[in-house]
Amino acid sequence: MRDLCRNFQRGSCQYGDRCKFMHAVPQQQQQQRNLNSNNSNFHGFGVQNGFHQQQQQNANPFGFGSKSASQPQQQQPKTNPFGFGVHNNSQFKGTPQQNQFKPFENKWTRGGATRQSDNNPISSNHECTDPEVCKRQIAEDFKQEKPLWILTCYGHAKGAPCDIVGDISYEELRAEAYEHAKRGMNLQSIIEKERNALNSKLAEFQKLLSEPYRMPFNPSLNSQNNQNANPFSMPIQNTGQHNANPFPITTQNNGPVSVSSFSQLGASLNAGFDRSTAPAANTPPLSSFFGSGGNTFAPNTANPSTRGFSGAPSSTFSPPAQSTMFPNSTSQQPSFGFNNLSSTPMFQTTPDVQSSSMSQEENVSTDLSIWLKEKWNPGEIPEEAPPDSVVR
Amino acid sequence: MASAAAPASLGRELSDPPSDGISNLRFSNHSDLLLVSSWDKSVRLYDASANVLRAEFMHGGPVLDCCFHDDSSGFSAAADNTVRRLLFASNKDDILGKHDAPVRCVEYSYAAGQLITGSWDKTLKCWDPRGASGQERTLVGTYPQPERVYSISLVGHRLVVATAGRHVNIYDLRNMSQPEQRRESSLKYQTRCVRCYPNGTGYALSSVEGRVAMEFFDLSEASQAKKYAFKCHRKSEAGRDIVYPVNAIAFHPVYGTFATGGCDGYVNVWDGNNKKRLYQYSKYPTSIAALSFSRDGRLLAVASSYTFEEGLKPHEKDAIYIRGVNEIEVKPKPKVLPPA
Repeated sequence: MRDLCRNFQRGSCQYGDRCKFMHAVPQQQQQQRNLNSNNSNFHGFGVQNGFHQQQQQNANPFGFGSKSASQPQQQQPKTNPFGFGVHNNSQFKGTPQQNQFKPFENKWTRGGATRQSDNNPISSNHECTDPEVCKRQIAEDFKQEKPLWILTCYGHAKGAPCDIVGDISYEELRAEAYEHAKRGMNLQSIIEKERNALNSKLAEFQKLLSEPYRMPFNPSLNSQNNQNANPFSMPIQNTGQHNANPFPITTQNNGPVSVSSFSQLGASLNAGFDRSTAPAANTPPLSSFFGSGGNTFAPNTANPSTRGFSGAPSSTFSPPAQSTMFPNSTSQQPSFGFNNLSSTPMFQTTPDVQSSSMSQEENVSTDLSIWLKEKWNPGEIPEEAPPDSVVR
Repeated sequence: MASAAAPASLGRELSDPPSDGISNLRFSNHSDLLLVSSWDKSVRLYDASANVLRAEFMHGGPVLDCCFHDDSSGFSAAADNTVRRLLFASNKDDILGKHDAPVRCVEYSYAAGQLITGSWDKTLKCWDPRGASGQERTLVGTYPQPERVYSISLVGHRLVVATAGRHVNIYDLRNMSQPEQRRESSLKYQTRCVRCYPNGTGYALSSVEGRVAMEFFDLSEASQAKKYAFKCHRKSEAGRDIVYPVNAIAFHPVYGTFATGGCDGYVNVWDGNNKKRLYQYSKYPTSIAALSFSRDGRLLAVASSYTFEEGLKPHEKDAIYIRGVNEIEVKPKPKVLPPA
């Protein structure tokens, strides 16, 4: 017998009757094979995961994600040509006619630059086993993804507790500012308070970045730490705060949970501030920052910045000339010291800050007398946690 | 749709908007009534199609959230620590109860017949609004949270609570004694908003770092493998990204796709299943504070209102735009399939 015409098998042969091969219904064996491939083609992506042509949202809609969720930078896993879940591969490996259809390519489009590798931009399954890896992760995050909003918390490993706590939402800041204005605090004081909050939060971020990262779960690695000698070994949450038992700073019990949002704000910002305030029993210097009722506190505001920062942030803050109260006013709002945040977020000063704060830390930590004081004046509060020797 | 002031591409601007920032806005489930809460201490009820203000309620402090009960009443959450019931016809409101700190979120659960509020006093409270007012009668329960509550969302019997410090608690409303699940956010920075999928399988969570995480309730490996996060609301400038917070998420009631609004002034519409962006609307004058689809998904209310992410600064006036939604903007695109 002549061979069966391949073109005819595929559906059409241009030679028609003139074809030198046989145009016939294929025999049993071939029939079987064709049937199988036809089936698989028909279903498109197979009987395994039950995908049907018209469905959008059923059966494995996130099949695409199933692979990529666990593999960072792997946008279109090669073992998954149909862009679907992992189960259907074996079905099609043997089909002879794979060229009949294109594998489904899920081009994950985004507005803007090529972001094809964004499938799982966060390093998945990051485990805090190596402080260097953690530190690199943190450095990368800070370099690439500094949010516009500064008073945020931060956790370098997704799904894990925060490294830097004490975040404030902009509604809270706004509510507090409105409250102060209502009570008659002048704009300048409000600005300075907010500026302090920002500065101290920036300091925290810098701290996290500059120090070798200490895993919250592995106290044995504390020995690797630098001279800042943080005694903390607390799991969870207070990594950035160097929180060990003598400094039971938790956001829950800082200050009374009283009526006004202001005290809440103060309480949470206390937590966010460096734990250096803990030795002073009732944190008198800090409370003066926010002063219940807005007293003058101007002198101390400048100090944190002169201490370790490049000073750039504070110098660019110029108290606005206007003193109109902002709530309930019309759309013309007075300009604010925050303006410098808008285009170039304060984070941009960080490279400078980092080096200067490092050297600052060395100076400060050797001056132990500061820790022995009973009460601190505004501006004297050290930024870092006290070294072991003074911790009772 | 064009108003004299705003270009038609933004939608129709609602007349008589609040005089200060807009904290949230919601469409009713039964009509095109729109409830808007504002930092000017008011809650306003508009008929969005007719572009008419129907009712206005003044509170003791900025109003941070509002929600409908039905077309005759609603609820509000204010910075004066009160939770109020609003009666539209009579333009009267009464205090349902109080928290110890500003109340940040309010949601009404039809499934449970209860009102749920979250506050910066780190508690969640459930109220029975049928009781006479007065906290003793209406308060059903108080549930402590690890941190100040920033956002809540309901679907069916599930409640998702997002707090400061990136905590997420998932509750079953039928058993509030403890959370069904306790999680930390998959994102690295402060959570802004959480919204459950209309199909009840999970929730979307947005943060200040220009990202949205798509999560699932089912803790099985198969379901958890489906979760992912994507970057959005970022602008590339001089080699680095400006990373804007994503303030609002709203799901389309019909298609299940969702819109996000960020401090960059853009509203994007996404197809979560196919992981694509479907559309981007023209840039609004200032940050997007809130989004809401109408019950049939034909209208989208956009609150273009500076959210203070950069402190106090001169900003565009706060406005609400009602735009018609075209299918092409929100309908998932069918996949290109091979010929059978």
